[in-house]
Amino acid sequence: MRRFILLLLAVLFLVGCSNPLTQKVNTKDKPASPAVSQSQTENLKVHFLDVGQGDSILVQFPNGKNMLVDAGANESASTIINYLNSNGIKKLDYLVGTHPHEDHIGSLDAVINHFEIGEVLMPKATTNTKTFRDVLAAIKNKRLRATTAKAGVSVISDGNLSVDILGPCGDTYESLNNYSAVIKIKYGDVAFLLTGDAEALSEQEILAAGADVRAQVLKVGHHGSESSTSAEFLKAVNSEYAVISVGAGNDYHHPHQVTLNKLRKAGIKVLRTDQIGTIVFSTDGRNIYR
Amino acid sequence: MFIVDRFEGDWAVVEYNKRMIFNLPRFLVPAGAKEGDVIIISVKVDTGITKKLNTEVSKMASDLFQD
Repeated sequence: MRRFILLLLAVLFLVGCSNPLTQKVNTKDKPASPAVSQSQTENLKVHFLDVGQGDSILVQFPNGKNMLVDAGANESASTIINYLNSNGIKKLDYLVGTHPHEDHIGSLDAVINHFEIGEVLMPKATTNTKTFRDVLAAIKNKRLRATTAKAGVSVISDGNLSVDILGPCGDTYESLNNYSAVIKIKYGDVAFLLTGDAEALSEQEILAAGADVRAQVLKVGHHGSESSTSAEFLKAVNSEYAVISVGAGNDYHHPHQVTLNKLRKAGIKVLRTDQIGTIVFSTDGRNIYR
Repeated sequence: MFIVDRFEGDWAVVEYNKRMIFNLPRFLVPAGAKEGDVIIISVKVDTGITKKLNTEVSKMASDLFQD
């Protein structure tokens, strides 16, 4: 009976979750014409900013475009803006708020107000905090519109560079964490998986949908909380590095020992922003440098 | 206005007015409260018990002082 229920659940997931490869929403990112394409020696750079307890990830694409995934807590605005300025960022071509919790969208309004913004991507989830209302107001004031971040959305598909959203697969969750946009960035043979605060439920749905989650670098879900990084998901991602974006001495005991044990047993190199500050990876599509 | 931003383990993370964020022990939040809920926090000073404790503690302390 139990096996039957599991099978039924698996079938439901397969039906309920769109295939990530079937849907192409974004038409703005057509492959660049040879005249404007950048030098192939350009690297993809992924910066995991040290914003204390929260997430903020800057991605610099080889084609010169930039993406920011999350903008830390309310108090991180100057940290993030200074970091982007010092890296010569003028425009964020893609701005993602993975889910509407304060430790991910806290400084999103400040970022929107300070930089030129291309496309805004957020899951279809709302909350009532002033923090979130201020984000909505900032988007509106700049006359921007948001695109729904959900499984199957292709953000970039440009030769050997792709950015795909693998989750959320569903549209109704009890925990806002599970609405987290789960983003896979692939350049050549090298992939990064950014999971926001997606919990085991969303991880299972993504696996059930048959998404290719393999990545050399995994941004560990929910600051290393035991709510995330389920054994099957970790095995499927099969990463070389695990990045944990977390504040030193946080009240929530993140990262949890259970998660650290799983990562250690899997032989994954763990890098933590509370221990080493901002973490930067660079790749030419074959090798990873940091 | 107090709004529940999220729950983290034993804490409810609460946003107050102009985006001040603080942790409230989860056991102080009604069981059915959800993320995004506006909550009413009311704190009262219990003058009766405070008076009683003041007397008890003064007595305990005065027994220890030798001058």
